[in-house]
Amino acid sequence: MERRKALNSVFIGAVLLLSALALLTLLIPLFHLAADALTALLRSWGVLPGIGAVFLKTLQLVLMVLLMVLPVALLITLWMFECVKGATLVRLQRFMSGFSRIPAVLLGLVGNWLISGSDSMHESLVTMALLLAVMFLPFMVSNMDTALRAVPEKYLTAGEALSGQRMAILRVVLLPQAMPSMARATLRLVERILCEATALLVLMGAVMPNQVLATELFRLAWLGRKDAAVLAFALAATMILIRLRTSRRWRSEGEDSNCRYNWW
Amino acid sequence: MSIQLVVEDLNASFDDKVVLHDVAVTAEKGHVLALMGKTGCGKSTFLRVINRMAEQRGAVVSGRIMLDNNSIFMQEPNEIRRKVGMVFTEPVLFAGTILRNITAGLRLQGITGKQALEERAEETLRRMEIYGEFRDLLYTDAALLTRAQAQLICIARALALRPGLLLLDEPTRLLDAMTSSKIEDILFNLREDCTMVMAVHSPQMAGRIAEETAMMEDGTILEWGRTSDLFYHPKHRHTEQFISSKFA
Repeated sequence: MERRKALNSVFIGAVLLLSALALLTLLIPLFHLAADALTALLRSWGVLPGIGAVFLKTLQLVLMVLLMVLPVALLITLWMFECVKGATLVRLQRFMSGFSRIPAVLLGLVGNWLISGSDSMHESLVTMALLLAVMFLPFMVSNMDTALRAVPEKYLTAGEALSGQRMAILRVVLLPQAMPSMARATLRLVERILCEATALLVLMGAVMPNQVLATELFRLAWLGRKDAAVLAFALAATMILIRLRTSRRWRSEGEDSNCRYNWW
Repeated sequence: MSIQLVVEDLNASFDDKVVLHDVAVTAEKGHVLALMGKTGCGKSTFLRVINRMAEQRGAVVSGRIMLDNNSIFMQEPNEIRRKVGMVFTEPVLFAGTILRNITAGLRLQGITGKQALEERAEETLRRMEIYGEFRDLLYTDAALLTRAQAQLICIARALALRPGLLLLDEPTRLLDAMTSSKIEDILFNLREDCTMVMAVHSPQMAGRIAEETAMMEDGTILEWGRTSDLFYHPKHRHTEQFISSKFA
């Protein structure tokens, strides 16, 4: 009976994961289409010169990574919470934690190797988004799992006393309770997407057809021109302001930053 | 509709440690049964056995527990909990508005219609005669409530499922005397609609609202009967000491 239950759990988990991946695969061409259409439209209006395009592409990248990471991370978290127990859970949590510490250079190199020979992939914002999604998925799963497990037992007990089924309790009681922590984790994810330059630079190689804030900052600093340095400073200031804003709004006192590259 | 509760030969244990033995007690329809006893004597476990939550935490239970002559062990735990509501010592409010809290039980059953939920919340608060206090606060964040208000909302949340039996685990222990008195009044007026089994931390509370009172000691019921009989003619020394507040 226990064995059958475990097998059922693994099966449900696998089906959910595969469904999520299938959905992701279906969505990728749509991302391509939407991104290209938006860029073309803005170019035709003449509103995309210079730095405007960088900001727009950064926004596109952030949205794409969030759309890829959040649903999959949530599904994996729920699967871990409901179906995985004991030593397997500990191993899985260790794996997530370990994966999220893999150096960005290494992931960028693997990405570069995978897309080598394909010009369209080199020029695609989706490739960048996919790399960041793979890179940050364990980080997000780890954070969501911690948030869900941090909900005190008394909420589960109260939900059970109201005759709720396990999944209903999860949806109606536990997830809303964990939502502030999950929102904070999402903002940290946005920060990390904005901060990440190394992986993207290594992924694309010398040619960067799509500049986003972090890589543009790198390029401008590399040029060594005075006006470029001023612009780089302005971009850095923008990112610091974003971080300050999110810190005040969402982060509790004394909480450590999870940004890979600290700005101060 | 209130439900009659009959318990006979009830035994419960966790990991071979006996926590309830030979418990036998009855709560008549529309009555309040108070459970008195020292901390750790098994009052809370007894309540959790009735709505089958103890089993979920690994308790091994045997004996007879009948709700209107139907054994609880012949029904699904969730089916039991739809008929048997529970209020805990510490008010546990869920994230969201007061309305979402009162109707949490309904939403857990899959009822999501806004109008239906609002109507049930209003009906429940009116039954408790506290609609006036919460009418304008229904869409307020529940986290802003005081502990006393939170406990009232927890009682409303349990009552919104229209249970026939309500289990209360020392619902006023963490509240001041004035608020306790208000909650006691509310519970007293609700007896017509549902039978109540209440673990109490003070004999005074049992004396004020319970028709029947049981004295528990080390996982068993020393004696039980009409509250006035138990208070004026206790058969056990422990009961007498508890009533005279030597233990309480």
